[in-house]
Amino acid sequence: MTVAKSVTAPKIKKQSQAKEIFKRFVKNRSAVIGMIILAILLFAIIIGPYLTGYSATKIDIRSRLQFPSAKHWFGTDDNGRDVLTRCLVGGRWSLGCGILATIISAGGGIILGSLTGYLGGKFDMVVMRFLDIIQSIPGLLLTIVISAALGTGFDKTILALALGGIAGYTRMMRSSIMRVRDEEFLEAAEAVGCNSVQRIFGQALPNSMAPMIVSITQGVADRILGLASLSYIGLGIQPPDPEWGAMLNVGKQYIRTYPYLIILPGIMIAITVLSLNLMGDGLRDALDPKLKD
Amino acid sequence: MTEQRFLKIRDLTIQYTSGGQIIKAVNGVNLDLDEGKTLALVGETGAGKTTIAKSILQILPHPQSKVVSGSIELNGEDMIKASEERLRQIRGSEIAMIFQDPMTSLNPVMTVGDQIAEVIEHHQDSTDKSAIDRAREMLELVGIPGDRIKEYPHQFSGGMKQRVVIAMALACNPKLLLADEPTSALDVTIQAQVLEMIAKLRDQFNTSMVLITHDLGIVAEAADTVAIIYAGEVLEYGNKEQIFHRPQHPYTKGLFGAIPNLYVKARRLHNIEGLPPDPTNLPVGCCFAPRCPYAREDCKTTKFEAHEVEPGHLCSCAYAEHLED
Repeated sequence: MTVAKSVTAPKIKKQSQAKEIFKRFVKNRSAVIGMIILAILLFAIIIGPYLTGYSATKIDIRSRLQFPSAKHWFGTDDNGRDVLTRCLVGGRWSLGCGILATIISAGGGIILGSLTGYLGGKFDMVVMRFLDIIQSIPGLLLTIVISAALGTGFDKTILALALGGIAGYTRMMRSSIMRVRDEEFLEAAEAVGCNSVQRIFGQALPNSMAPMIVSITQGVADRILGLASLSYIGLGIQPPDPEWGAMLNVGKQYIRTYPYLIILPGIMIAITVLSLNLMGDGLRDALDPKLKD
Repeated sequence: MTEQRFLKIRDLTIQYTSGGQIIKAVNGVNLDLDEGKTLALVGETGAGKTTIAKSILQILPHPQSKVVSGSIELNGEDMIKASEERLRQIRGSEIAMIFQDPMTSLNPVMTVGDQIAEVIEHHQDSTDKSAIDRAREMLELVGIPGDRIKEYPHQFSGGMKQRVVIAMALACNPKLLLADEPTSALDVTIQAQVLEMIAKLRDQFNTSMVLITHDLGIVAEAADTVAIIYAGEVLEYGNKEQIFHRPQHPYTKGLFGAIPNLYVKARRLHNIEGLPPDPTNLPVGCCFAPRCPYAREDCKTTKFEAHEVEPGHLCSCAYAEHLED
């Protein structure tokens, strides 16, 4: 006699969507490399300055412009400050400003772009014409004007860097929402009783995020460079506080004689941008269910 | 006809505005539907069938469309006058719609389980867990293994997607199901399966249904009453037997003439000459007059009210009884 096996339906894997996305993200090797680099960088920026044994701001004229050595791994700058320490402390300002400013810009852009793209009509008209005005001012000039009006300081600088970017993100989000606006699944969502907020942010938005994610990671790099320009004309982060862009500007004067002054902060920026881009690509792929496996 | 009906549409007139022109999509439609019955709306593309269905749910596109006059009463409650708040309660729970194209009516970035559960969460005070359990139940009800609940729409075939859409529509046991050409995007064998399933579930839940189609075979299979829609008007209305066995209106006769008959040898199918009228510029008289082989002079100038040719069988053609003259 055979024992009748009870046929049980296979258990549904209790797995949240976030977990699934993470699993797909991990499968993408270059994205993981990007994430690891960024993690190391963040770790170094947070912990590093305490370990180097130098101050980022204290001037020591006697040891100015020393080439990299065992004592100063990255050498010293024209005021005798340790370049490694300044790079790490500068990273706090640069990355912090870059990431926060991008989050504010992109957040504003996503909200405005979703609303204008979905609702259309007069609201869209008014908002877009207003953004046209903003975009007609060259980006850097606008940042400088806002920064000059608000004054210097971490929070004000972030705001100055963020505001100009909202227009661009809004435009991108709007066009990508408009592509899905007339899809039948939105009509179907209405037919099951979703209100317009749920339709815009719950249904249309997740379908139009792909171009934004890539653009956001790119945006962090743009903001870091924007911050550098601000510092160069005396706005933004104030000396003696170090910041990557400002360090590049100082190094420019010594480019023939002491090139390490410009190479090292440059490498920091390059690595940050690279790791963010790798992560952004991976994130976009992980978030798109159609690319699964 | 009794007064209190489950669904009562009276004198419904809907217009779209496009590029300064007024498109008369639906013109004075009267329809009735009793509980547990199926009403089929039959007509050519652009006749206004979908517009009627969407107006029942009040999901016509804003601001292009406008309900000019009429009432749509569901158990005595006028949908046109209902507040947005009330409509959101009704949509999905009391009236549900199956859309034409299952390929596009599911959200591609949400798992099917989440999409079914969403409907349930909207309308019933249920926790995430019980909504998901119910979603799985619904999937199994439409013949999809419950463990596929975590999959995305693109991992399903067309027929399965339509089943998911049906599962969504039935998740809250709606009293009225609007099926907008539920099978026209599917191939014939899948069509039969899906129709059979809809019929089974309809009987199981005692749901009324408005079935929109241009396939008379489906009508014969599934409908109780039939309304022949043309240029936004009901040309003929009656129960299935009346329409199929004793069609009165020349247009209805023309439609039946266009169906291939196995027993009659014919090289070409009969067709109705001409095209449906331009909805921005409808004829003054009978809307079918320009194409009607029996049209008389006064057909082109006078609009005749629908009259009863036999009990419960309405026909808008004034000369329906004398066509052979």
